Amino acid sequence: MVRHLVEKRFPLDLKPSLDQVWQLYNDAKAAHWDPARDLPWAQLDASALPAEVREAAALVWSHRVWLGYGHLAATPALLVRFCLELRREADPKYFLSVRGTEEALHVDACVRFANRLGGYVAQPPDAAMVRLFDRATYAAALDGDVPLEALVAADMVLRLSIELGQLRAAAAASSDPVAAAVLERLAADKARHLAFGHLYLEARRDRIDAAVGEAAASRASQLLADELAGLTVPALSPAAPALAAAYARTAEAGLGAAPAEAALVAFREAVADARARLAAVGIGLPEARHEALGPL
Amino acid sequence: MPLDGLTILEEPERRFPLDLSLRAPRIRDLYAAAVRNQWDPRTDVDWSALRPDDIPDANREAARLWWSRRGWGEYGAVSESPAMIVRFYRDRLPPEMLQFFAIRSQEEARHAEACYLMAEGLGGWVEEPQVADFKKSVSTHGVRKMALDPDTSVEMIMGALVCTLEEYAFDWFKLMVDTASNPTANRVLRLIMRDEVRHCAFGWYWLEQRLPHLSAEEIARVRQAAIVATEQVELTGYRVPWMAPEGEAQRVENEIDRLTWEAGLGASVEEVEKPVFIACVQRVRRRFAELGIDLPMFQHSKLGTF
Repeated sequence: MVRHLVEKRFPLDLKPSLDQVWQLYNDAKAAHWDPARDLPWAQLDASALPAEVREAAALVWSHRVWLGYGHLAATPALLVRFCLELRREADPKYFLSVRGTEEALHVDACVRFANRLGGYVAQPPDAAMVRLFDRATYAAALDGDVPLEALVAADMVLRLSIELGQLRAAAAASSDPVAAAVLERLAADKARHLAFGHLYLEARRDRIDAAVGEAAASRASQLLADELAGLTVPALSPAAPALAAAYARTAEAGLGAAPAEAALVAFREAVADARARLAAVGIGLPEARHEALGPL
Repeated sequence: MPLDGLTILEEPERRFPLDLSLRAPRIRDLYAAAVRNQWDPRTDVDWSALRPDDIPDANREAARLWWSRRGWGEYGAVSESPAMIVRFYRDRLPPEMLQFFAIRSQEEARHAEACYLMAEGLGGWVEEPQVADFKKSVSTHGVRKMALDPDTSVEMIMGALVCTLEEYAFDWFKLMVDTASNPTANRVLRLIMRDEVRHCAFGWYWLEQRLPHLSAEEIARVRQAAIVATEQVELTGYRVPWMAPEGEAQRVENEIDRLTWEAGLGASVEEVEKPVFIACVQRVRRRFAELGIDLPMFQHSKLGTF
C-alpha cells in the first residue's frame, strides 16, 4: 500500500532559495527546443539504408521511447511529491515542471526518429525485459514511506547518471547527423536533470540521516539490479538478445547507439560517479557485481 | 480517496504494449502549438514598466496581496494537475495527452512564477491569506484526489476542471486584460490568458472525442462532476472572493480586489464581473448541451438563479 501524504498548502513560499537549482530552471527555459523544427530531419534518408539496419535502429529508438515514457509519468509524480511536503523549496518545483516538458519532447523526438526508420515498435522483442519497465516509479514517488531524498538519490542521481552516460556514448558513436543531433539534445537536457539531483542532495545533505540514507541505498540498489539486468543497456542482459543485436547493428551503422564495449565502459563510469556523489552526501550504494562488468 | 482506500497507485504498472499512434489529432495540434509558444516571465515581460513607486500605497499593497493570491491559485495547478499525467498513463490514453499536459504543468509553474514576480515587484510575496478562514476557499480544487481515484473517470475530471472551472477563469482573464491599464500587469495577464486558451480547448476536445463512446450512466457522471465543480468550487469563492460565503475574510479579500482593480493592476470586482460570469456560464451550458449534457440552472446569493 502507498502511504498517501496530505498537503498543507500554506504558508506557501515561492521565493527561489537554491541559487544553482534556480539557475538550472532558467537555463532550461532558455534551452527550450522543438522536435519538429530544431532537428535536421531532412538529412535522414531512411530509404538508402538496408532494411535490417533500418529495423534495428527503429528498435533502438523505440527502446529509448519505452525508457522515456516512464519518466513522463514519474516526473510529474515527483513534482507533486515536492508539493505535498510542507516547506519544500520552490526551485525544485519550477525545475521539475520544465523537466516534464523535456521528457515529453524526448519521447516526441525518439518516436519521430523511430517512425522515420520504418516504424516505432510497441513492445520489447524479448519478453523478459518487460518486467524491468513495470516498476511503477510514479507510485513510489507519491509514497510517503519512501523519503524524497531517497527518490532523488536513486531515480535522479543513479539512474540518470546511467542514462546520460549511455546517451553520450551513443552520440559519440553516431555518424548520422540526425541521430547525433537528437542525442545531443537529449543529453543536454538530461545533464541538467542529473545536475538537479546532485545539487538537491548537496543542499539537503544535513537532513540525510541514517534512516534516509538507508532508504536511499535500498532504492538505489533495486534500481541498479534492474539496470544490471539490461534495462538501459541490453548488452548487459542474456535475456535481451534481440535488443542487444539491434544495438550492435545500429552502432555499426552510426545511427544512434554505442558499441557494446563503449556502452559497458560508460555504464561502469556512471555507476562509479553516482557512487561517489552519493557517498559525498552520506548515502552508501551497496556493492554489486555483473559478469561482464565485474565488481561495481 | 475511494471508499476502499485504493487508488491507481496501488495497481501494478503495465507499460506494454505501448501504443504511441496518433489517437487524438486535435490534442496533438495543441501540444505542437504549446511547444512553439513558450515564454519566460523573466525575459518576456517588461518589469520596468510596473513602476511601483507611481502607485498609491494602498493600491500597491492591495495588488501585492492580489497577485500573491493569484499565485496561490496557479500553484494549485502545479501541485495537483500533474497527477493527471499519472492518470493518463495508467489509463493508457493517447500519448499526446501526456505530452500536452506535461507542457501544461510547466505553463502553470511559469504562471505561478509570473504572479510571484508581480507580487515581489509590488512590495513582496505573501505566503498565506490575511484571514485564516479564507484558506479553505483557496486551498484545493480537488483535482489530485480525483486523478488518483479509479472510480472517477478522466472525462469527469475534464468536465469539472477544464470545461467549467478553466472556462470561467478564461473569461475572467479576458475581462482583466481589458481593464488592467498597467502595462506590466496587462502583459502578464495576457500571456497567461494565451496559455489558458489551449488549456480550455484540451478539455473540450477530449470530451468531444470521448462522449460518443460513453454510456448514459458515464455521461451522467460527467454532468454531475461539472455541476459539483461549479457549485462547490467556483461558487464558493475558489477563484474570486466575492462569490465566497460572507464574512470577515470575504470582506478583506473583496477590498483587495477593488483596490487592485481601481489601480489597473489586475483583479475584477463584483459588479463588473457578474454579467461576464453569467454569460460565461451560459456559454458553457450551451457547449455542454451541444454534447448532449444539460447543465441545470445555478443559484448564488449574489447572482440569483442563472
